Amino acid sequence: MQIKVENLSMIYSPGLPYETKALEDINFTVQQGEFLGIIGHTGSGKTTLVQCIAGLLAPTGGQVVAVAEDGTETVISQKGKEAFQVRRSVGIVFQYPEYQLFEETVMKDVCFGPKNQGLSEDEQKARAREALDLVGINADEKGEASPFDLSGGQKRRVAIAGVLAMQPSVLILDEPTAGLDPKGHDDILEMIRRIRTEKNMTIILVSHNMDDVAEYADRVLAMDRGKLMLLGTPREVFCEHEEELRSVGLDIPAGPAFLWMLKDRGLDLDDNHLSFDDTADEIIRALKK
Amino acid sequence: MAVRDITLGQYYPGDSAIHRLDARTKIICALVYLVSLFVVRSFSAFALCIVFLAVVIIISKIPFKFISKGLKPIIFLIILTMIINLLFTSTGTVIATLGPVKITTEGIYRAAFMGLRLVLLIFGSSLLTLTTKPIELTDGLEKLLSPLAKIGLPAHELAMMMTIALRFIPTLLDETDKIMKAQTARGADFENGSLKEKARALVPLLGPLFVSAFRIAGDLAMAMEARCYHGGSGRTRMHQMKFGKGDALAFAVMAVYLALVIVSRQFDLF
Repeated sequence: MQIKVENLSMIYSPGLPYETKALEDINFTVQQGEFLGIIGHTGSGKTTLVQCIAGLLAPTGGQVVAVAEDGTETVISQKGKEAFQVRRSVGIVFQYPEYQLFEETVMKDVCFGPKNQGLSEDEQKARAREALDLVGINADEKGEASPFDLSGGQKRRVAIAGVLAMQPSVLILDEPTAGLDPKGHDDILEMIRRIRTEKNMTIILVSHNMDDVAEYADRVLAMDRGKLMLLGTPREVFCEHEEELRSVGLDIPAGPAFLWMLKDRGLDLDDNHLSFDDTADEIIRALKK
Repeated sequence: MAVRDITLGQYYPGDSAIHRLDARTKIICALVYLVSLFVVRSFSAFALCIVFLAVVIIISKIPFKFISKGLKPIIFLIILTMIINLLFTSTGTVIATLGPVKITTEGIYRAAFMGLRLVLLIFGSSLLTLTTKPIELTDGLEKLLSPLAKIGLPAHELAMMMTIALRFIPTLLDETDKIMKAQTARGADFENGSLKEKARALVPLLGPLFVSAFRIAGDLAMAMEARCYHGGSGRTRMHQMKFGKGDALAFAVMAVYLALVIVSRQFDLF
C-alpha cells in the first residue's frame, strides 16, 4: 500500500484566540515497504501529521490517500466501510504506548485489536502469539501475567505487539524509544528493522534522534513549524542542509556525517544504514584495504 | 474531538476592564447576579438581567459564540427541565390534552421561565470563569473563605484542591484524547453500538485513564513535597490581591443592579 499525502493542512481551534496551524500544505508519498523517518523539533507537527496518516484526525484541508496494489485509491479520513478497512491496515504506536494497556493479562491485551477486527478466539490467540513472538516476548512465560507487572521495556513491547497483532501493512511509530535505557532503545529499533524485513511492512518512524533516523530510514522528512522543510535520503538531508537543520534546532548525526565526509574525500566505504559501532569498523576496514 | 470543545470553566485570555477586576470582586458579583436570577419573578424583570449580562459581555470582549458553546453540555438538562415543567404543571388554562397529561398556559410560561433562568445561570457563571484565570479564582476563593478558617473550615486546603483539580482538567482531557486515539487505532469503537456496548467500550478508556491519573497524582505529591509544601500556614504570595477603583465601581454597579431587580418585583408587568 502506497500512502499519498496531498496538500495536507490542519488548524486547531479555528477562529479562537488559541488557533494554531499545526500543518500547512504538506505533500509527499510513502512507497510500499519504505522506511521513512520523520524529524522535527517539539511542536513542529510530527505527531499531528502521523495521526492524519492513520486517519485518527480529520485534516482541515487536503487529504491522505491510500493506494492499494491494484491502484484503487481511498481517502483515509473519509466515512464508510472501505476507508474503515483501509484505516485498519495502518497501525500506529503512540508515544509511551504502555499507557494504553488495560487488560488483566498480556494475552488478553494483545488480543484486543484482533477481537475488534471480528476474528475468532483461536485466530485472536494465534495472532497474539505471533505478535508477541515478533517483539521478543515469550507468550507461554508472560502471556498470563498482568501487563502492569512487567518492566517498562517489556510493557512497551507488549503495547507494540497489540498493534502488530492487527497485521497492519503500514506501521507508524511515534518516538517508540522515548524514556528507554540505551539497551531498550537499541532493542526496540532492531525489532522494528526485523519486523520490516520479515513482514515487508512500510515503516514511518517519528524520532528526535538523528543517529537513529540516519541508521534505519531510507528517506528522512524534516518538519519545521508545520511545514515540510526537507525530504530525501539521510545523506541528502543531513549532508547538504546542515546549516538549515541547525537553524531550526535539529542536529546532524555524527557517525554517518563523518563517513560521508570520508567518502567524499575518496575512501571506498559502504555508507548505508550503519550504527555507530559499525561506522568505526567500516572505517578500519576501508583503511586496511 | 469533542473533548476539546468543553468551555465551561475555561479561561478566555483578554485584557478588558472585566478581566482586570480583582477575582474576589468577580466572585461576589457573580454570586449576587446568580442570586438576583432567583429573586426575579417575571419576564419583564428578566429583561433587566439580560441587558445587564449583555453589557458585561460587551465590556469583556468575549465573542458571544464562545460563551454560548458552554451551553452545549447542559442543553439536555435545560430541555428536560422545560419538558417536565411543560407537562406537569396543572394550573392555568388547558390548551391541549395528551392522555393523562395536560398542557396549560401556566405550563408554557413556567417552561420558558425556567429555561431562560437556567441559560442565564450558565452564562453568568461561565462569564466568571471565562474572565478569571483559574489560579486567580482559587486564590480569590481562599481569601474570601479565610475568615471561616477560624471556625475550622480548611480554606487553604480547599482552594489548593480546587487549583489542582482545575490545573489537571486539560491534562486529563489530553490524556483521554490520546488513549481514545490509541484504542481507536486498535479498532475500539466509542461511537456506535447499543448502550451496553458503549458502556463496555469505555473499559479500555477508563482503565488506562485511572492508571494515568494515579501516576500523575503521585508525581505531583512528590514534586510538592520536594519543594517543602506543608499546607497553608506561613505561606506568602507572589501576587498580593488588591482592591482598586474598578472594584469599587463594580460593587456600586452591582448594588444598583440588585436594588433595581428587587424593586422590579413590585412592578411585575407580565
